[in-house]
Amino acid sequence: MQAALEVFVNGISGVFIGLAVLYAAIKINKLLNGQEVAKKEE
Amino acid sequence: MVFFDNMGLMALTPGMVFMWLIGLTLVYLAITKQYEPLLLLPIGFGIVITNLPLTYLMEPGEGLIWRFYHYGIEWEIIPPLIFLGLGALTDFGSLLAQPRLIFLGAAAQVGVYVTFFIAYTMGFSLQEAATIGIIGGADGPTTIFLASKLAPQLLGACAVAAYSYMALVPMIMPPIMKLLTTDTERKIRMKKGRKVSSREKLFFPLIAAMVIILLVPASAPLIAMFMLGNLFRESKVVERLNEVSQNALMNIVTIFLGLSVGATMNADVFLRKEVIFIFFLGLFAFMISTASGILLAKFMNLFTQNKINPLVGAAGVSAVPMAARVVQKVGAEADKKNYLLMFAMGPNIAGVIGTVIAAGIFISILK
Amino acid sequence: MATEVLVPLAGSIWEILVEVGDTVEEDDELLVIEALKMENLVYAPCDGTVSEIRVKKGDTVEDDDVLMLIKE
Repeated sequence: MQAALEVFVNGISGVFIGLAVLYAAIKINKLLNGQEVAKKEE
Repeated sequence: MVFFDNMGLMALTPGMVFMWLIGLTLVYLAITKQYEPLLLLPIGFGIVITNLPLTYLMEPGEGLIWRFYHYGIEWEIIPPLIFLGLGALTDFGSLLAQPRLIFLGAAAQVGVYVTFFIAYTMGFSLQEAATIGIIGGADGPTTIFLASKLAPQLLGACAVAAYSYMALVPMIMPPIMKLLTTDTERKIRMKKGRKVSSREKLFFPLIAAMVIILLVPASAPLIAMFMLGNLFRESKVVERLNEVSQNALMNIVTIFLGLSVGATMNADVFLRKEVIFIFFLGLFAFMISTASGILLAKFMNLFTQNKINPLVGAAGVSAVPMAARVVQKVGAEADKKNYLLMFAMGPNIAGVIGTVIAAGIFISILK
Repeated sequence: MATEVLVPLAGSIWEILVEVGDTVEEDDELLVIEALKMENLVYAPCDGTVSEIRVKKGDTVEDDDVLMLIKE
């Protein structure tokens, strides 16, 4: 039971942390590449 | 006469005949109802063929389909190749335009872990419970990938459960979606996301591959191929590779995948009461995943001005793009001028990534 | 004054259900946009007469492109 709980907690927090980091990466990507091109297109 | 002794007919068992019925039912549903026909058709046929006695098709070291299975699935080649094609097919634009919706794709993985826990308390081993839970992610290749690593004996049942429920998304999801949302919530029109530059789309697969694999190395086979396929697409300089990944290559490996998954289901392995539990638990996982995505969207609405239509949360279940289409349909029932399809694609794709991460975490802890 | 009918979601024009000169009422069906293999109806934003159609069957359209004009 101990082991299952450990997987449960690690799993759910791992998925949220993973996607939160990806969220941050998308935001950084937007800062680096998004605006610059948007300006050019204008 | 030796001929009569060598006939398969002599070695036939009632269990095998019962498996024919299951296989033929899948073939029937694939043809008449078009339920995931690309997979359920070869799977159904594989089930029938593997339950004809004395063929030795799945005999380790010599059988034809065993070779497909061994080199394709046990060697982890086919699911990553499918992901290569999915990557080439995927437009991450909707995700990049509304990155906050990524969390809805994470929420939908709650069903995976809740089901994992319940399956474990019902007596399945940790590895088996993980494989059953991942059905809730609604991602066929990921389910097969995880099963081949942790619980090969459940591979056939879990794959069929995952693909069947994906086909049944239009029936399973709407009642849950309506139960958990009010009419006013379903009518919420979302603000369009910003325009995403093509350079952002080009950088995304590179960044995402590095970030995710650094965090969860065990997800590398699937994520690497997924992002490579997407890089083919967004680089716009290898149209040939892009085209072959999403069409020819994917179609070819789908044949071997379907056939060998079907062929793992011989009567001895499949006709056990555990399999019935797997189907119930898989359905349960699906329902929890749908619900948890919706509930997170409602929770996020408590803090944000720019409201999310909670129906979009249901698309965190990664059946792409069926889940997003269902969201569009249910939304349009409430307000016919509400177009949720593209908003739903964000969590839908995030759900795929989330399920792969979940599988990677299972592998790194339980393998 | 003419009202612009905008693309509600990116896709391709599957079918155009009205012609220039047709009288339409608010919420009438104007055309069908196909996106992700799903047909999505576009409805009239107001009453009026179709004065111009700027797309044809098979065109790929982006968010907020102008599909047609309706004169009130």
